[in-house]
Amino acid sequence: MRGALQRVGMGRGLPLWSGITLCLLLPAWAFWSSTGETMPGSIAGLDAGNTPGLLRQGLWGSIGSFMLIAATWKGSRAGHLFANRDRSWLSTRLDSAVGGAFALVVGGVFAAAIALLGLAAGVEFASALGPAQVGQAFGKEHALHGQSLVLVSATPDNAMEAAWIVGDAKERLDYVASKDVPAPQLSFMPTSLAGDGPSALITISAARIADGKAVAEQTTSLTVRVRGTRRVLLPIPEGSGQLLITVRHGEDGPPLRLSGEHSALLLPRASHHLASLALWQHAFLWIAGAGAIALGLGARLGAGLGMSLALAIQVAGLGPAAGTYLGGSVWLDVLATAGQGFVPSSWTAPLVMGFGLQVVIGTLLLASALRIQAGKGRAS
Amino acid sequence: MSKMRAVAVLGVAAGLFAMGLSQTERASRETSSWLGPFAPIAAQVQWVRAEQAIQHGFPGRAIDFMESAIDLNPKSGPGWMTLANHLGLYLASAEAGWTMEVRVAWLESALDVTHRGQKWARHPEELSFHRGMLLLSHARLSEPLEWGDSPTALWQDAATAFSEAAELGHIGGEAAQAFALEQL
Repeated sequence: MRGALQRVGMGRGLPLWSGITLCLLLPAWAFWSSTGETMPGSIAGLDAGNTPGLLRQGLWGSIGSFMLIAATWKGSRAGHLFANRDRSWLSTRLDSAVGGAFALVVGGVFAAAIALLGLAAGVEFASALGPAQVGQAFGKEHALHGQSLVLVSATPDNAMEAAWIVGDAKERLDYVASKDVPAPQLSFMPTSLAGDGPSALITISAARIADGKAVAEQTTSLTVRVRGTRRVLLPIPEGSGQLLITVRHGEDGPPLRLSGEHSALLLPRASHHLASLALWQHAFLWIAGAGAIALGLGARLGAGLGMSLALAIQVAGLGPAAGTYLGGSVWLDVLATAGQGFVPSSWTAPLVMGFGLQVVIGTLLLASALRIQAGKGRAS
Repeated sequence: MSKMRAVAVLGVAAGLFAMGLSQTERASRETSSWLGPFAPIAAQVQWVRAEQAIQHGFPGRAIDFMESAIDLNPKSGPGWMTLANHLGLYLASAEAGWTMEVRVAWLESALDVTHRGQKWARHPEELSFHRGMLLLSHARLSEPLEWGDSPTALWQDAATAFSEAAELGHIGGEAAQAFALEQL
């Protein structure tokens, strides 16, 4: 019986054919939304050969937004119909309201998962039609926590040097050199405050720390000239434990700012296509969670109000606090990471918890609506 | 959905696919606006996050969010102005705690933003006028920035920016230029 209810829930969720349609639609969308222009100084302009990354960002961002709205609408409408039009036949088939409601919600979640798999396939299909992404694939982890604003300048009385220790991602920083495995990299993005005017030299080094001191033998360093904005990749020194990151300005030239958002740990990945897998994971938690809670809200409040409230919850999830659980702000970050040509990190425990909580709340709301309506039915 | 409707939708999708396939060379060009109609909405979210970063005392993160918002919607003049204000008024202020050289560099960075924005924004004259306002703001301080070779360089550069704004059609450009020139 549960299986039948799950299939009913799937039927009322995101339409499964939408995945196939998206596979076909996406290349056309990619064509029409392309302006062919690159903004000077933008991240897009920095990473030559990153068209597939930008394509993934755009397609997942735009179609994903459509699918969020569609999932909340379908969910709230299905919830409303379950609690009203379908209650008579549902009441004859439900052993328990909670169990039945859970099966219906799970069906909706499966529908979202399959439709999003179609989107993932479509995005990779569309990106495969364009130029291939060059170079080693890297996964991006935000692990280089330093100061909020790292600025180095040539003036002796000011900070010529900035240094901080990366210590809270120890197991990810560990690295043993091997011919088969590419070295993890540290990614930095220094920007000259003079824009495209005079340039300045910057030296970035990473050193392993032992007994509280930097180990000279386990240090990598790179000196580059920066005009405008430039991405700098520095291999992680072999070994394990904490890293001391040091950024030093040259003797002349304008001050240089280090972008915190673009200072990251890059871990090698098998393929660039894994980006869509990571995006699928995040989109699934975000959209299926929204659909699940919309199902419950629609059952209790009606389709329109249920959808509005479910979307409002997701808008609140764009904030930093709620976003950790509801996925909205995390979704923007993983989109940005994919747009830079990196593989975003996988889903996190708080996101899974938030998704589970939405499924539970959606189930309980739907179950209570089914009970109320069943009670009304008996009373009448 | 009935089978007929599903077949119709798939048919339209297949047609679009074929059209897209024939144009993949154009689609493959590097671009920063693949988000289509959602780009301005995503940009608004980034502006909110930038504001939150400022309120929580992370001015560096705020710059990253603002630049991201501008990347998403470069035609928004107010976006460029907000970033220029953050750099040229907030970070270049004495209260931010930087040395004079660094404060001057922040203002230069802000002026660079207004120049870059002029190539994208719908109303470039507004950004030119705003550049003049940034310079004027520092010129009117009791302890102005050490700008250029002379104490009046800020006023001179502000007058130049206002003149550019007037040439581009800003209605207040000429009056602002006259005001700046009076201070020389």
